[in-house]
Amino acid sequence: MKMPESGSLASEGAKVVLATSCDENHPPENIIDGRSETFWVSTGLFPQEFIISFPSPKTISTLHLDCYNVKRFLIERSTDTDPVDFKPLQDEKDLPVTDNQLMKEEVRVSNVQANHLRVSILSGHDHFVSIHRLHING
Amino acid sequence: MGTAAGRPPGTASRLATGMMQGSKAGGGVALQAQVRVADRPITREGLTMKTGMVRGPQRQVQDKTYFLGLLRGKINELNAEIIRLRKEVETITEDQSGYLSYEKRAESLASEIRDLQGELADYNTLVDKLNTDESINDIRMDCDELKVQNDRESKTLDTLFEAKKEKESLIRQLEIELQQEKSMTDTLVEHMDSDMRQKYLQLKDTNEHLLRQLENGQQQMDQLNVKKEMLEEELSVSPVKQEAVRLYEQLHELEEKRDQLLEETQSRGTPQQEREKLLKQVKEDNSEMASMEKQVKMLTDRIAGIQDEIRQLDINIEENQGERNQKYKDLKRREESMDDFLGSFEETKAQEMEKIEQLEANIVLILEHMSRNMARFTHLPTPGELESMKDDLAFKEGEMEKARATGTGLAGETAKLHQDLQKVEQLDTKISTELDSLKKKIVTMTSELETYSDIDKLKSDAGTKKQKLADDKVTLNKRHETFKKMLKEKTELYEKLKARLDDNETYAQLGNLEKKWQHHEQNNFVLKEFIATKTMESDYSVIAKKVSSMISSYNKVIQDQLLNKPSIA
Repeated sequence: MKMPESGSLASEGAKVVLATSCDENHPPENIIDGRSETFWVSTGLFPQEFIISFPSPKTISTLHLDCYNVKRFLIERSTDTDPVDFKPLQDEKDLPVTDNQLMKEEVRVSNVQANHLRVSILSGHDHFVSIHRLHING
Repeated sequence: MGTAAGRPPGTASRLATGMMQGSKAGGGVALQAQVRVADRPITREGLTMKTGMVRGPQRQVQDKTYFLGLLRGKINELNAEIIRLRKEVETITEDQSGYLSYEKRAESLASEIRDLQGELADYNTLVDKLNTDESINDIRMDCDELKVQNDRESKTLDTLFEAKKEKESLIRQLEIELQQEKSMTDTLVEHMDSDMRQKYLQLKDTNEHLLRQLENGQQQMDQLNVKKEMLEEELSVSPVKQEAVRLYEQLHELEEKRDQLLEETQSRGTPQQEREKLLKQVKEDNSEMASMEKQVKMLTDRIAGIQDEIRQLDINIEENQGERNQKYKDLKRREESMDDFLGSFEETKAQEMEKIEQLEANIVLILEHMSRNMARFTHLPTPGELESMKDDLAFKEGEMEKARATGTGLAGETAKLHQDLQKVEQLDTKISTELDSLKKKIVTMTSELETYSDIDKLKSDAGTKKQKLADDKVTLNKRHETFKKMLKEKTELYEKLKARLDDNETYAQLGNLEKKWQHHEQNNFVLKEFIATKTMESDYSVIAKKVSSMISSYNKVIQDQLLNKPSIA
């Protein structure tokens, strides 16, 4: 287990509190360790989702998502202390097919506060999808 | 007469006695006659004669009645004899007829005997076979085989007979055909137009005429040949005529030659012509030479044949001369052997001399050996020593036996040891592989030892692991909680949705419809199955196929028969 990169969500104390898939070799912690080489992989049917909880409310202005084969996804946030009562951060979004190239998606929002962040992958271009990195600029 | 009296006649004695009795002198002679037993032939007649002679002088008067009486007696005797002979003849004829019947019987008996002999021979063979341990089944099998063979042969005979009949019928048919052909030709001739017929008849006549001419010519030739042969024979008889023929021939040749030469001188033309002529002559000569060679060959062949004949004749002569030849041959053989002997005498002598030398050398050798042995004789051991030596020998033989046993034992042991060696070699390889693996293990263990020797590090590692596991536990617990919450949320959502759905009228309707559909599907399935079973039950396609194929085959057979029938008829 490598230590997370400095400046990553994991180093700030964020935790993945829910992930619908868990492969031993590619655990969900790989999403928030700040590296693009490590990834979380889905192991079943769609939809798949994961929830990241922050230790304190976090201001979000831009959100970077590096992934493969994701077709349609939705990002939601919650300001509650428990990861419930999620509200969508933006509309559902479709991503085009990239020929085995890492997708780098950027989502811009107008400085919202969030205690929890939920990413739902509603469908993929292939049977499985992988999420390599999630980075948030406050 | 005196001599006659002196020697009594053998036959017709009665008349003679009568005559003798008629003359007085005869009676005297008879009286004086000395009866010599030695002179008398030992027959009945002779003996009666003696009685007659004794009686003769007792009755002096010989009148007619006496002779009549004599004749009567003779006639009676003759009659008796005749009767006897007749009886004999009868018996003989009876015997004859009896003989015929006996012969027949003998024949029948002989045939019976033959049959019985055959049977006996069969039994004998059977007994032989039984004696030679052949089972009865074998014999039966043989018998069956023979029967089968006989059947086969009879069958072949039948077939041959049938073939013969067929051939005969064929011949008859062909004859009929021939007749038909003849009649056809006749009809053809009849149907010809007059010109053609005339021509045909003319040709036929000429054919017959020519055939007759040919026959005539042949006959003439035969006659001439006969005449020629006769004349040649005549010629060969007289040497003068032969000489004359020869001279005539010579003359003829010479005349021809002269004519030729004259012609040549006359027709001597250009060199070209000459050359051509010469060439022609050469050709002719060549052909003549070839013919002569042929003749020569023929003659040589004939010579060879004659030589063969001579050889044959020689053989015949040899056969005929037989004994003398044998003797001659013997002598010749002896001479040959003697010649051989004389010829090979020197060689044999040399061989013999050599042999003698060898033998001498051998004798010398043997003598030396003997002398040596004689010398040794003095050193012969005493009986006691011999005993001990024998014991020694026995002991040593025992030793040898033991040694041999040991040898075999050692051989077995070597085999065992070889096996052991192989096993050991196998073990060796195994051990080497094991050694390798152990070395590898040592390397790993040393490395592990290094890691394990550093207890502090291990402790820290364990601590970090523990920490990590604790962290994991925390995160996982959190996740568990989150999951629980999520589940709750989702169940709530589900419940809500379900309630809404249940409230929906269309859903209920749909459910009902679905149930109905299910029911219908089930019904459908059952009906389908029922139909399938019924179709299976009433499936006549297989039978139909079979029937159609059979019909087609029958049709084919019928067609074939119809096609073949005309050819058979």
